[in-house]
Amino acid sequence: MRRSSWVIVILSAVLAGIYESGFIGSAPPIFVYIRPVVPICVLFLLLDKRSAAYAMAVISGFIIDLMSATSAGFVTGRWLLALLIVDLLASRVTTNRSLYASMALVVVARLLDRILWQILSWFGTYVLNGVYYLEPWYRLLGVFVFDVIFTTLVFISITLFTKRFVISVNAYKGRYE
Amino acid sequence: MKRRNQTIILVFGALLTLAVLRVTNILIPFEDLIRSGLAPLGKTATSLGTSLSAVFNQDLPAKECNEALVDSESRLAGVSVDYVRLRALEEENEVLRKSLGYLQKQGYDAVMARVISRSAVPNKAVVMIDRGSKDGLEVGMAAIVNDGILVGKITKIQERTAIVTLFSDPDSKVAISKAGERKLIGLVEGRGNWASEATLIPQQESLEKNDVLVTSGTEEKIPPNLIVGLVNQVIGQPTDPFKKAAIEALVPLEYLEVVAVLRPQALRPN
Repeated sequence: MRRSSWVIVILSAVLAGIYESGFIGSAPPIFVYIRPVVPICVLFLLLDKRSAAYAMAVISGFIIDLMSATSAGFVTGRWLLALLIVDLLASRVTTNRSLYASMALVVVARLLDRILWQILSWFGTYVLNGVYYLEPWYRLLGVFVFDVIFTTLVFISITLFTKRFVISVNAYKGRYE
Repeated sequence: MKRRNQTIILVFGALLTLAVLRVTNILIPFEDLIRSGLAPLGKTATSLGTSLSAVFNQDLPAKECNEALVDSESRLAGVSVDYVRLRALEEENEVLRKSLGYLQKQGYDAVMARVISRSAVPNKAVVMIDRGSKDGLEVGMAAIVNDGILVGKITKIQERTAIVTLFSDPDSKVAISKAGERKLIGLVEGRGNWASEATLIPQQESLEKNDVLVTSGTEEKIPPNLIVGLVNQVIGQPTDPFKKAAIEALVPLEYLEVVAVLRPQALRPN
C-alpha cells in the first residue's frame, strides 16, 4: 500500500475508534447499532488488503479500550482474533468474492467478536475478579442489520466503480484467477 | 501458505504481547499519555453526540409537554415558597456568623473537568473526565454541577483521566439526608436508565413529594448539603420496616458535558 493510503487508514481507524468509544455513548440510541469498524476490516480482507484490515482493527480497538468509560473487554485482542479466523474462512471456505460471502463473513466476524467477549467476561469475572459488562444479545441483532446493509452498500459501490471483485478467466490456464 | 502462517504467528504474537503488557500494567503511563492526547477528540465526539441527543429528544408530543409543564409549575410554586423561607434563614444565618466573627471555610475547591467519553452499555451511567490524580483528584470525591448539585463520585482514577459513576448507575450508593436536617436517613441507589431511588429510609422518617434530598456528609470525601434530587414518589406500606422513594434528578444526567470535582483544599497540588 502507498504511504498516502496508510495515512488514510490510520486516520480513519482513529476516528472510528473515537466514534465507537466517545460518540455512541452520548448520541441518540439508534447510533449504538451503527458500528462500522468490523465490516470495514472484513471488506479490507476481501479486497486483499490484509495489513490495512489488521492495522485498522488494532488501532481502533486500542482506542476503544483506552477511551471507553466502562471496561470494553480487550477489544484489540477480540478483533484481532476474530479477523484472523475470518481471514482463514475467507481463504478456505468462502473462496469466491460474492455479496453473500461478504455478508456471511461480516456476520461471522461480529458473532465471533461477541463469543470472544462472552469468554473474556467469564474469565475476567471469575479469574481476574474484575467487572466486565456484556452487550445484550438483542442489541446485537440491530448491529447485524446495520452490518449487512453497510456491507451491501459498500460492496455494490465497489463493484460499480472499480473492478476489484470482477472475476477474470485466464485464457491460457482456462480457470478462474 | 508461508504468508498465512506468518500472519497467524504475528497476530498471536501481538495478542500475547498486548495481553502481558496490559495485565502487568506496564502500559499504564503510555496509555495515559495517549488518553490525554485523544481527550480533545473525545470531548468533541461526546459533545457532538450530546447535542444530537438533545435535538432528537426535543420531539416530545404536545400532550406530554403540557403535562410536564403543569407538573413543573406546581413544583416551582412549592419550591419558591421553600426558597423564600430558606433565603430568609440564610440571611439570618449570615448575620449571626458575621456577628460571631466566624469565618466560613468550606475546605473544598472545585476542579473543572470535561466529559470525554460516556458508557454505551445499557443501564450504566458512567463517564470519563479529563482530570486525574495529577490534578489532586482521588477515588470517592464528589462530582457536581451548578455549584452544588451532586451528579456522581469518582470510582476509578488514572494520572490524567478519571471515571465518574453517576448516582443513577446501578452500582452507585450515596448517603443522604433531608435538606436542612443533618441526619442520615438512607441511601440513594441508582436504578439504571437515569433513574434512582432513595432506600433504607426508616418508617418513622417523614418524607413527602418534592422534599429535597442532600448528601449527609457521612462519606469521607463528600461534603454535606450537596443537592441529590427531589422526591418524586414515596413507595412502601406502613407495615414495611423501611420505605423507598423515587428520586428525580435536578439536572439531566445524560447531557452532562462539564462537571466540577470537589477537592479538599489540603490536596491541592502546588
